[in-house]
Amino acid sequence: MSGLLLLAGGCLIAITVTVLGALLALASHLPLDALWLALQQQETVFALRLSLYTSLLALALALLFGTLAGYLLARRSFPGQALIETLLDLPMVTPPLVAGMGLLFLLGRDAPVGSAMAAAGWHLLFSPAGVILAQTYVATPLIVRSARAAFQAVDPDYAAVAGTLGLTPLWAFLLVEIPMAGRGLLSAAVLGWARALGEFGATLMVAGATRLHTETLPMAVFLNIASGETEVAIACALILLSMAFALLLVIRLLAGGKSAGQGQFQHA
Amino acid sequence: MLKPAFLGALLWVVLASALTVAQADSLFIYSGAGLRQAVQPLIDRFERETGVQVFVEYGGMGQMTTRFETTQRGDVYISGARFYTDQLAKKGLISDVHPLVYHTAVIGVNRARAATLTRFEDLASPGRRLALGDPKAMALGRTAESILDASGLGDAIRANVVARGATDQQVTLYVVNGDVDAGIISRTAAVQHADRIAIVDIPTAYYQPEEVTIGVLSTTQAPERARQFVAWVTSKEGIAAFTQVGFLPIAAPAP
Repeated sequence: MSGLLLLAGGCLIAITVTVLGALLALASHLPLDALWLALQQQETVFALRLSLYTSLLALALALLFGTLAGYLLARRSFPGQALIETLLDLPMVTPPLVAGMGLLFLLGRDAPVGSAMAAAGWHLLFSPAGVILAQTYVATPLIVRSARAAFQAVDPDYAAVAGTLGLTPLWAFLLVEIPMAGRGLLSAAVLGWARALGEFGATLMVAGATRLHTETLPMAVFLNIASGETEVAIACALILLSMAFALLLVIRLLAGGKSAGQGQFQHA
Repeated sequence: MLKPAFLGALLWVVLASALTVAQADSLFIYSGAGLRQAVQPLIDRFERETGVQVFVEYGGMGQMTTRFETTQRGDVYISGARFYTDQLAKKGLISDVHPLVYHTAVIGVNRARAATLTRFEDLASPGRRLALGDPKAMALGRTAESILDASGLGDAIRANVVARGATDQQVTLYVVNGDVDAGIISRTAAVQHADRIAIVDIPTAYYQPEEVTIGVLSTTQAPERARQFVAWVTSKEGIAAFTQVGFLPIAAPAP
């Protein structure tokens, strides 16, 4: 047994050291004063603001759609449900670039959907709205999945009792079920936000790589690596990493240690 | 029963096999992504005839340069523009640099809009939707900017740009898909998609076509093998592989 523990400990150390090593190497690549300069560059500030703005809007959309869809999947069973749930899992395993190509072809100016939207005055391609679309696309399935698990952990009898006490189903949903699934939903939101914030491939295809227009943090990292301006790239990468670290830490704390984490996923 | 020692051994085997993948007789090559159609068949033939395994990384030239300078690893560098091999040469990081062919830019026009866009000046007419490359991330993006400046129509044309791409093929995809009316793309990309893209030439007065160059990197561990590869690419057959896919030969006067 102790042999196994030793081996497991070795693996944990190897993984931790590798992750930490990559992070420190990245950070040490840029002296502090250069980092400070890079952080003040217009491009860095723009990318940070656009990333925050688009990812929060994407999160709001993904939560709205994802929570309701997840609720339905948790509470009702219907023919073809397994097919639909598998279909919804696809965006999580599709390379984002492929998702981006799909969206580009769907919304292209010559495609039926795209031309109808253009006629209605909706221009998603090559705009910040396209960034939001790409981010929502990758974040929503994640939220559907987590929300479904969160609602499944809530006994439907509570809502039924609330019904007998005179609450309409909508109010029972809002006042009873959502708060009871709250912690799971919150960690779903954080996961979805993290995913939206880091989204790159789909954004590149749908919104284009236009500096100071559709340039999110991951896009700024990519463009500046591509043009050899590693300072801005590393600065943006460090911002992204710090935000991701904070987000992931929040999930850990929300999940409240091991037991809650297990409880959330055992129904998934 | 599963013993820890067995698990440990298994882990070691997996790690060791992951680490030995990139050894044996091999060459490591950086190549501009836009050169792939010509470079890949040449690499395939080289591998077949010499038994040398060639690893190649395709990408935008800025990215390739960063990758090379960070990893300090590689044998041969094939650049979409002389600018990048000049930069490396200044730092003493490359030698034996040879020009290969001209990498020319054209206006690629979506065929559905080809009737209304027949001259360079048409790019400036109001309401056009254009895509260009990012001037820092890709060689042709830089070329496009200098073309715009030289034409004197830069402001009007830039006002029509609705999207920037990070690679030539991304810009081309937007033209093929009809998301933009036209873009400044490589002649090779336009030739590759001739069924969807019409070519409008850019007046030669506006720009100097880029030279595709090849050279041996100072970090090479196998200079003989690297030079052998360069000799193969610069041979008559090697150049033919480039001209077949739309590059223009250097021997002919520049277009």
